[in-house]
Amino acid sequence: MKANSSKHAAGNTAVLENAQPQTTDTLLVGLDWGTNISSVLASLRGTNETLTKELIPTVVGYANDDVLPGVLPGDAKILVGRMALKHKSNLKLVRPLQGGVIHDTEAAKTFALNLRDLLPTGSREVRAVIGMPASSDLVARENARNAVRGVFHKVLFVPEPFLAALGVRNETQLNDPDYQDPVLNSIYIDIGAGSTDVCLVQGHYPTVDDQLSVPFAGDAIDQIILDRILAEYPESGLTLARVREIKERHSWVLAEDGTTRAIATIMVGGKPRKLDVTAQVGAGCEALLQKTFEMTRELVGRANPDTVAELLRNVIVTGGGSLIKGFGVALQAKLIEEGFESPQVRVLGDNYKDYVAAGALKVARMARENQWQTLLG
Amino acid sequence: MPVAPCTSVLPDRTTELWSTIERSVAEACLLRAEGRAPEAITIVQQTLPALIAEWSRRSGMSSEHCQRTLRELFARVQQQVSTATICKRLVLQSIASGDAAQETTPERFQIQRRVPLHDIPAMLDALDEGERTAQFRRQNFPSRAVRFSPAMALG
Ligand SMILES: Nc1ncnc2c1ncn2[C@@H]1O[C@H](COP(=O)(O)OP(=O)(O)OP(=O)(O)O)[C@@H](O)[C@H]1O
Repeated sequence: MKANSSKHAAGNTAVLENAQPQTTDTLLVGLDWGTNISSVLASLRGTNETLTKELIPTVVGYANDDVLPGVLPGDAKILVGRMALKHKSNLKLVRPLQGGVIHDTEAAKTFALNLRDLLPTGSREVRAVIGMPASSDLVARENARNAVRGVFHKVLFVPEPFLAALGVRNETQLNDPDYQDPVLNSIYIDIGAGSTDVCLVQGHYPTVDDQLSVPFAGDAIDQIILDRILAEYPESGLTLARVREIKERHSWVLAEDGTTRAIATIMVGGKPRKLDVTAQVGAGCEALLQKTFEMTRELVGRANPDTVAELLRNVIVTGGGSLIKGFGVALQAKLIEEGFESPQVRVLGDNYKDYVAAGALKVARMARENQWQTLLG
Repeated sequence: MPVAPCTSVLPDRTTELWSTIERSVAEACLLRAEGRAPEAITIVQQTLPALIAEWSRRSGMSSEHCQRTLRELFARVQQQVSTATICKRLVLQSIASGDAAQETTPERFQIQRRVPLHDIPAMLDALDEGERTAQFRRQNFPSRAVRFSPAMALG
């Protein structure tokens, strides 16, 4: 996925435009702080114009002790995001988040400060709405608050599924009789790195009973794929990071011939060998498909029977895991096999990252003044 | 509320004695309910007899009347203590099961009530309520609360 640093015009937020007075002294930020990649949107309070739209790999790189002068840009000691990935051979890379929550607060703060530098802050007050996994606990929220102290003036944390539901909705079309409002009656599936979340969105924010979250997602299938490859090639010295690269290029479910062969160059007995790991990648992806199907089935079982038919016509899949080739069709096939009538699964696609950030910006525009949490110090 | 016999006509010292007897009886019953029988026996055998003797003398009531009044007091206090003991057990049970649930889904970031999607401020209020409840639980029942990992603390 490519980051986009250009300035973008207004999004789908007309209904929200009168919520707050126009002030150019407050910058509103919507942030999807992802384990792998973060998406940020910013606009001035009271306006609909998006001033910043960025996708940044959530990674911080610390320069190795032995790096020679002139190698890193400006002889930097720390690089963040794409620059960190570009110079990874001279850096110790740290991912501040694990499973969607902050794992290294210092690296997270460095990342957040770098992110703020991308915003047109000037002397403005900066307020951010930040998505957090629904499964995150109080400690995770406290850590996130600590990480953005001194970065943003005011913050609000909101569960990611809420933000995604808000982000995916196009308020400008609500009066169009042909517009199918995606949040009136839908099943929303988010497959991230650390967790898979499935929730019912039926016109209201999902409550505890409307959600299922399991810590089984992209990272877990990387491990399955790695285990399978190691079972066959025990000396291959393959790392999880390399497996993830292979998976992201060659992931598949449903039809093996529909994908490009997953050929990995692996060191076996000290020599590079090209191995076909298509089947192993497929096995990991299939496990995720099966888990997602089971969660969907369970949640459908909890829904009001009168709503089920419509619910199944609106199954929305998002998150990096949804990019597995054939995932939507395969999930739909499984639902049909289960006996559900005419299910329709829609995969949001490559720009799935935009929805949570867009939802966060909508929340920032609508939050009451006294709801913002002020970060002191 | 238990009422001292002939309160209106009793002189002050007698009222005072009756209050002390009531407190001592309640304490003895509570100690027994908590399994601290020796301490309860000490009150019944050492503290109460002298108090009761003086109160009987001063009350001006017949010894039969005094005994009946004392029996009623004991019965009433025992009833109160056993009700309180059941309540205490139920509260402790509910805290324990609440904590067990919390351990499986520790302070998740969710809302308990339905809020329409268009009402963003109401959603934020509902989240805030959940946050406050979780914080209250953590502050008041810290031993069962989610442990804070030093590795996660601000560096
Ligand atoms: N084409 C692809 N095929 C399969 N998996 C993919 C693909 N692209 C990304 N992923 C996986 O998706 C996961 C990341 O998804 P996403 O960006 O939604 O997560 P995140 O927001 O960073 O993490 P989380 O939601 O857990 O915080 C990773 O495991 C990544 O390897």
